[in-house]
Amino acid sequence: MKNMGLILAGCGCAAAVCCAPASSAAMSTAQLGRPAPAFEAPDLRGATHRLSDYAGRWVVLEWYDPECPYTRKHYDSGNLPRLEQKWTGRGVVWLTIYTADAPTGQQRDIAGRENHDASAVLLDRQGSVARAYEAKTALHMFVIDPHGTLVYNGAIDDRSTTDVADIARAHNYVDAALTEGMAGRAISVPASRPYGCAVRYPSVP
Amino acid sequence: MPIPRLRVPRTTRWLVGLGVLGCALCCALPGLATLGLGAGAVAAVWSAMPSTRGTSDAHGAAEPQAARSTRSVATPQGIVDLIAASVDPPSNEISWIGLRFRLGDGWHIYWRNPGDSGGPPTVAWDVPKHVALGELQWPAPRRILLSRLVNYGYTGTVVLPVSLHTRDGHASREPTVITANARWLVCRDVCVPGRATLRLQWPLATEERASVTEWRTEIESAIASVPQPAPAAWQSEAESQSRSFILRLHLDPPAGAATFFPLDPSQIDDAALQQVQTTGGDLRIVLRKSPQLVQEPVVLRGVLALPDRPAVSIAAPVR
Repeated sequence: MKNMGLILAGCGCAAAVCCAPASSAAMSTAQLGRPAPAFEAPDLRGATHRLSDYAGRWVVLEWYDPECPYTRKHYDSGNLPRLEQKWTGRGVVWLTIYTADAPTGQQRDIAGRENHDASAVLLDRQGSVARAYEAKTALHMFVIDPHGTLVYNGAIDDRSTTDVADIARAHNYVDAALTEGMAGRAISVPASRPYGCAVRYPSVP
Repeated sequence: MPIPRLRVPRTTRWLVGLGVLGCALCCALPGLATLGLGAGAVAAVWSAMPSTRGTSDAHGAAEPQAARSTRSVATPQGIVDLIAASVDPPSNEISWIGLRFRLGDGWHIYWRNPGDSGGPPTVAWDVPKHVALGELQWPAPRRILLSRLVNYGYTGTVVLPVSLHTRDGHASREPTVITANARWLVCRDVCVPGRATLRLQWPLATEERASVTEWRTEIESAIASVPQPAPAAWQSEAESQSRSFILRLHLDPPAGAATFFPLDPSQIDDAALQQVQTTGGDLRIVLRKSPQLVQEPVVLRGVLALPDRPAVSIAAPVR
């Protein structure tokens, strides 16, 4: 078992070198306090969105996977739809990022329907937006201020479970970051460990 | 007062269990139905061919096991059960039980720090007042590679051992029931949450007594795999640089390779390559800092896996 662990660790090192060269090349482009990485992606209707389109506005990026149980927790409870409605109502641009190389028509429908109150659902088929932000999980959240600076990078809240009951008990980091940021206050928790299911990066050709 | 032992036929237990489940579902319908539908949708997705991923209205397999209180639960992803190292009930001598996962091909569960995604199994224990239970112990994890992410966890069979003994000089008592309200996340290309109420009861049933020898071997092997603190002579320490921590140790005997598994999240980048240099007994590992690292840690805690010897736990002060 110990040898297997080492072999896997060795394969892991090799794989990290062979399979993810971009991650060492694009070291920490999504850094707190620095300009958020540029991106360009189509929405469900095919219209193109760029981060630069939203200069001067608060922007939230939410990584999304309709089948992840952590995602389901926040949608089936109505928590994320409520958050989307609340903040887009206050002028925040809420972009739901769906990283998947070939989402089915049904998955796209679900994405559109349950993110009805988001500004747009962006399809990240090549995983380029995810790579730019080093998105780890569905429910990895980023908040960008009107100057284009990344001010939050991490989890949606502090209860990293799949249990709906934990939502009421949780401290919502994104809600707090937007409340503090829009009031001109420093963001008390600018980063946390993102939780959720792994982002499905398409295989590098 | 001792708990009376009912000898109830299996089918009757099933029917009673289903009846209780039905009552519980009616009372807690909104929350449980939501969770059940969510878990069901995910389980249904798992059941589909790997190349197609659709959602379904069917309730999946994860929830129905929740109401049964039994030693072992079978799910589509594997079998989860409680095993005991001894036929004797807990006494004032330390004995061991284990939460065992026997996972199907390709599925994994997570270590106490799951890494880039996922989450570890959790247990809420229910034990008699006279029994003291230790903490869940974690055998040394493996690195599980996903595209651009790394998780720490287990594949195949893993036993999480737990020690127990009786308090205040109580002698062994029968019957004794240990209940584990277990929750876990098992992932492959999709993730399936699971939950079960597992029960271990002494005196053990006849078929259980026959398994104890095998169970004891598995538990002892798991205990041996739990990392022990590294010798102080290894003098582990970490230097904080702008983008990385440099972990240094002096190993005796020297090692040609090493892998560090952080205990605390958001300190190192789990997916980054760990560059290892060895010069004689001196080991140097470059650990890229986590993108979510905000406050410099004072100590880097974790497990160091080494070839040809058991993994050890270290706590390297950060300078």
